[in-house]
Amino acid sequence: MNLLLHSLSTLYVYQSGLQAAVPLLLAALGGLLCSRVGVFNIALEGKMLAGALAAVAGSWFLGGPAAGTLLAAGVGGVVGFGMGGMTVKLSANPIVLGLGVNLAMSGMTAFSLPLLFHVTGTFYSSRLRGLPTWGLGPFRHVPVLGPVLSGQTPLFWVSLALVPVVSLVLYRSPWGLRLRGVGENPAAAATLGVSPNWTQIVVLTVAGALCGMAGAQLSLGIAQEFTQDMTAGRGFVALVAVLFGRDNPWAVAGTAVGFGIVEAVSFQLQASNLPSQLLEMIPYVLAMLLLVVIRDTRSRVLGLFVN
Amino acid sequence: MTATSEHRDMSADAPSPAPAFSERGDRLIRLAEVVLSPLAAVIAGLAVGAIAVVLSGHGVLSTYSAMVRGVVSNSFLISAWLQRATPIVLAAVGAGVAFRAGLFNVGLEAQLVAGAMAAAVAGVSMPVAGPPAIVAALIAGALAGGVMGWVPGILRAKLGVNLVVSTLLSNYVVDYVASYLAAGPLRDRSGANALAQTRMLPTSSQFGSIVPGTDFNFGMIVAVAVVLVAALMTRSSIPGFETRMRGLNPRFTLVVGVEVERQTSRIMAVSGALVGLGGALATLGTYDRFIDGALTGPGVAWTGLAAALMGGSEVSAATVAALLLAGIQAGANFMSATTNVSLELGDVIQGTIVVFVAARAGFGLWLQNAVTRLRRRAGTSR
Repeated sequence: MNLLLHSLSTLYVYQSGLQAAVPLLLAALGGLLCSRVGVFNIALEGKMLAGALAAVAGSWFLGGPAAGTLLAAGVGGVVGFGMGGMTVKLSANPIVLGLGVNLAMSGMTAFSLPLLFHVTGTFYSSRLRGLPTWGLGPFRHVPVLGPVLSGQTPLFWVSLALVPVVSLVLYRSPWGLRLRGVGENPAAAATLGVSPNWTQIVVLTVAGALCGMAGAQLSLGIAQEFTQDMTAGRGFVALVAVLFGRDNPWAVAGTAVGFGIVEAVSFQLQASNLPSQLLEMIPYVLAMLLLVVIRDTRSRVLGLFVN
Repeated sequence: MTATSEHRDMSADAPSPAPAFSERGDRLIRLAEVVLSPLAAVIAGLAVGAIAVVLSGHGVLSTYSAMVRGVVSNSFLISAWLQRATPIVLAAVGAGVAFRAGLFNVGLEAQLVAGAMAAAVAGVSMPVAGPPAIVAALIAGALAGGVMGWVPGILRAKLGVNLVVSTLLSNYVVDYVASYLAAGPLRDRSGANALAQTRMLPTSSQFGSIVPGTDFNFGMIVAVAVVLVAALMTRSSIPGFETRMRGLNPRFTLVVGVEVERQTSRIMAVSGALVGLGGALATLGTYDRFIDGALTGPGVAWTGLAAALMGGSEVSAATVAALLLAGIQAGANFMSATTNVSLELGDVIQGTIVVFVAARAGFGLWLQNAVTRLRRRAGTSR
């Protein structure tokens, strides 16, 4: 208990919490966009994993973390585009497709790791260049905010900037109107000349790129290595943030940051003699609790949940 | 286009994973859909696997033939395949039961691990070893799995908790609890090894080999019996009929007077119990104890899920698919030992299969259109 209070009272835990929140936030923004066009995307996890490996490969072979991040976004985008194509053109069931993408990405990353780096399980090298961290110059002495915000990766600032951007695009731009229209009523959107199919494909592609970047933060920002299945359910936690934030970018971002801080706290508590497995479990338990709070009233029939 | 109009419901919660085959159209087309669309998915999976093999600089034919040899060359390998398949089959059948009702149970790993752990604990803590301990372990496994299914079910029914996400998250929670128990309070401290595992079951409480020199065990007979009962129940019992009805039309099911809330928790409990029983069979017939990561490492539950999706929630089809996928996994295991291709080739093939299974509705539509076109052409030429 003392340790919990102590870790909550240090600024370090918030600094690392924000660091841990970045992948959740990026993936959740992707999931939010998908949800807005009526696709319940459970493949955030798989796309994030693909991005994590692509980022390491890009940084290693193409000269640096910037190339790695771009490659990660590209790979995520390609997977998202493929999903979009299958959803729209082959009327694939999005849930089954998402499960398939998660399984396929888990297999493909594990299969590619020995081909790319001649190792299995984990690739780590001191010569692997991770994402830089920005020290903020004189601003790092600003009380509270300075220490918390300094030492963050560029992707942190990108994800932070994306929250108002997504919000503005969704609510204040013609594209956002069309996009929401497709989610609300595809047939009505179609009669107004908006193609629901193409909107969904584009949104799934963008969401894939965001998930890829989330993976880059994971493997080049937080860990500086790639481990098999390193996403460890973060894609699903991001999905809970989307549901809990009710598709609102600011609420979703707040939830993602909350999860990041909880992750950082549970990591810090491992210094105590509490069992590490139970501490690692905390974010998932919290996600389940949040899920219970969210009442899915939209899917009721005659007041009952029939499906 | 129909796909987009369905999306509204999908954002609310999981759609029925088994809208599978429209009831219209004749039986022949339906049969073709049931057989051809998974077959097409398997071919696509093998094709993508072949590309992966080529990219890794190995021969496709030699790799695939090593996989086949690794499964069927001799009676020991066949028994090892079936031993691997046992929990996968039960997971697939369990998932299939929920899928039939349109309930997306993706917490198979939670239910499987809970079942395996409960069986291991019940097996060693029974005062008498032998058949009573085996029965107790099987019941404990089914109960634990059933509870893990029932909880998300009741949360769905009473509070409207998203079933897909809650079951997905339950996997992580149960995995962590089980690995804590195996590494901490329930750890076997008798031996010198440092593995996180529970105490070994007494020999008489294990499903030992029934054919010398092979891994054929009594658990496989139990699995066959359970599959037969499940197939019979889903086809010709009142709950089975109501389950199917709900999968096809939940609103209708509600209107004709089925208590759908109670049905949700019951179906999820039965589904979880079947999966949990699979975990118990793995404990009694394969590992003789609970070993942390033994079921999660090779992704037993996910293979079962893939099989259920392939089988379109039909018990018999899910069983066949489970045997096939278990064979791919067993073959990949053998292949990675004899060639330099990595074990994960099996996961690549399996994941690709599921991706293409997702497109079965589109495939079925395409097939129907093709048949209609052919018929029309035949009609005009006459």
